[in-house]
Amino acid sequence: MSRDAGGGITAIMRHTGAEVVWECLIREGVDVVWAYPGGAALPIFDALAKYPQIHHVLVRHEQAAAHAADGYARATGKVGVCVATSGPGATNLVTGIATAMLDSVPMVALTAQVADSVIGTDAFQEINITGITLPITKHNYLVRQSRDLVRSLREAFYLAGTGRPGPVLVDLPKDILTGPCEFHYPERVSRLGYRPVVRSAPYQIQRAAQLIRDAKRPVVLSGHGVHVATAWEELRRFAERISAPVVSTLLGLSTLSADHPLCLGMAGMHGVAWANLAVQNADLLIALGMRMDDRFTGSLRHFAPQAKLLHVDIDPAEIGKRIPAALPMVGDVRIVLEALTAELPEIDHRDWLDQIGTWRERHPLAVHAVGSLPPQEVIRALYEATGGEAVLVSDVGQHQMWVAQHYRFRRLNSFFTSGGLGTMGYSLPAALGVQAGHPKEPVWVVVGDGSFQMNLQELATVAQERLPIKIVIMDNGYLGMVRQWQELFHGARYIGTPISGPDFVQLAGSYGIPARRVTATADLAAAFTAARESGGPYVLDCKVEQDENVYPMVQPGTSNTDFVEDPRGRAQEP
Amino acid sequence: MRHVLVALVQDEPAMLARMGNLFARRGYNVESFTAGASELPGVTRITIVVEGSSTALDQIAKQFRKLIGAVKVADVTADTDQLAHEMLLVKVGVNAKTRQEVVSLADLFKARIVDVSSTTLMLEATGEPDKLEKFLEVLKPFGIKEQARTGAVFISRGAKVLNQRQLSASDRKYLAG
Repeated sequence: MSRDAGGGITAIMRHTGAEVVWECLIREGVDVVWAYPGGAALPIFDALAKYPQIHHVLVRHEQAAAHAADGYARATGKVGVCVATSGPGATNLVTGIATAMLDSVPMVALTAQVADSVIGTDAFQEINITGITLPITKHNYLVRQSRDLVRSLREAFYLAGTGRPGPVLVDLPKDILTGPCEFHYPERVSRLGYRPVVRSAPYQIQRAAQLIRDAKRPVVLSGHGVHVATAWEELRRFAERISAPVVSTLLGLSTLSADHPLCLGMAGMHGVAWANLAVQNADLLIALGMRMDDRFTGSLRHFAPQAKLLHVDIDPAEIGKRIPAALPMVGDVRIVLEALTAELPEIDHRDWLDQIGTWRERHPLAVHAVGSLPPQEVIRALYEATGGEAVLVSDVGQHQMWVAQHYRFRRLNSFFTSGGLGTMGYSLPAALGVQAGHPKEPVWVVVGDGSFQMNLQELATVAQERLPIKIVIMDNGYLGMVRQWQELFHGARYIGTPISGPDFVQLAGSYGIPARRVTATADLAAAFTAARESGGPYVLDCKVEQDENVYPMVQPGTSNTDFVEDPRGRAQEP
Repeated sequence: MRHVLVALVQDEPAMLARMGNLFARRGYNVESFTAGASELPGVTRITIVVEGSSTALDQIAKQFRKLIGAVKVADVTADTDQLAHEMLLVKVGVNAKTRQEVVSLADLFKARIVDVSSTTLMLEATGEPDKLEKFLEVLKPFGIKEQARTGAVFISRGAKVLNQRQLSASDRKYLAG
């Protein structure tokens, strides 16, 4: 994943620092940035006039710039770039940077800073943003001399996009931006002590192959690292070779088509029952680019008690962090899978797959016809309208879990959501970036009425950029996931969770975005068709049943085999 | 259990904050933290003595290695063939009667007298932390007015060195800035 410098040796020319910033970005293949100007950032924006090849998107809040850069990076695998001014501009990026950090998303955040001569004096709009973002960036830079500018930017892109990706922030004092700066882009870049291991040793591959040959009930755990390593094909071939079922984490959804017979879907707190049962009864877990997050494992004491763990990750610190690995394998998932598949014969696990099939029949997902519009029906209608081929961004909460359960991702790398940080308000701004990565087709957003109200100002950006983003609001008048926890664990005292909102149809209208309200299951198909067929953005305000809970659910601190199913009894498969 | 981490890190701004963050976030109390120039230009050698379980320290060492600018990180706790030395400056209260007694104790511990006033003696001692501990113990009855310890630095005996890898020409150029 090392980034090409592009071009050969560039002639040394006189530029301003701000021009050099754009020159560097162009060398890194950047053609779009999400940005918000301000006093200290003025030189960066002023210089942009000379670089028409860069498309600059004016967002309505810096947090959205960070999420958009994040969405773009997830959709394309390229480093996403956001730009903000000093002080409040920079602090507004923080949630977006942290979101990218927790989900290993390559991002370069550029912040303007007050002039070097006044740093440390609490000057107007001065904040120590490198200090603030120290724990939420892979690395950050404060450029204090013009001669460090190019190296810092070159390294920022290199670090963001290689190894375990992550956000890198570069803080740019105003006088560095306005002052003269030599520009020569180095073709090669390296950091002492930074050498991500991508290839596992041959004897490790052989030991892994032996573990897999010995296993009777193997399960592959597919995580976000499979997307990052673009290892979708390698995953499918590997799973087929050893006929092992593939369970995914939330961010591992769409690493294997949901139509594939070996694809079990998501396990964990709101995972489907058969996936949890498969993991809990496995004798070998082959973990690929996933970090055994607590929402995935449930109680560690009860997690997969009979299983050995073969753990593949590019970050050695993730291996053995929560669960000791019988075989740690540091490396790039794609390269490791390729080597491993070559080492393995065809293996048949029919009995094991049959067993999982029985669990699947016994514990299907429930959709109960409560009220006029069950939320799960909205997700199923979205699936029907898009054939499971949508590019889909989800926000955080109940609707996110219903997407994970009920939407069948038939298309690879088609699902984008905030997993690790669980950032409400992520979806709409992230969709700006996902859309830039998929310019020829609509991007679908599924969002709760709470999450939507956290960043709905970006409707203006959607309208301004005329993006065909289809926003499906799962509108239940509650912060639904928190309400569910209040119902189950806090005596049904709904404090702080009932949430009002505007008339979303009128709101969309005021931005010039067509919208429609849906109140009954019978109206879903027509509404989704209208949204899909409209050329531009569209808002569907789906008034879903208020009191619906997400099931199955593994209660905190319990085993993933003790999932609670819908108390209304046997499910109805439509 | 007491663990000793030795690290080589690039000498650059915020490196100290990055390392501090690592321990603070996980609630570790660092017993001592020493930093000073290593044999490599632009590279600082850090010695950290910290209390914690082996699995916890293993995780910290891994997170430490992830810091950009960390060149080498090793848990040297298990190395039995190494020197661990620390320096101590201690100001002891004395009077005409006790001064000679303190001087002879300093002699016993191979400490140097570095400052004298009518009511105090300042002593400088180096050696294993345990030895300095004992020295402080015997000085206690005289009245310790002030003490400053550097924290121990560790280095293994024999030909073995921490940084086995030879720096390339480009590494050297990089470090030279």
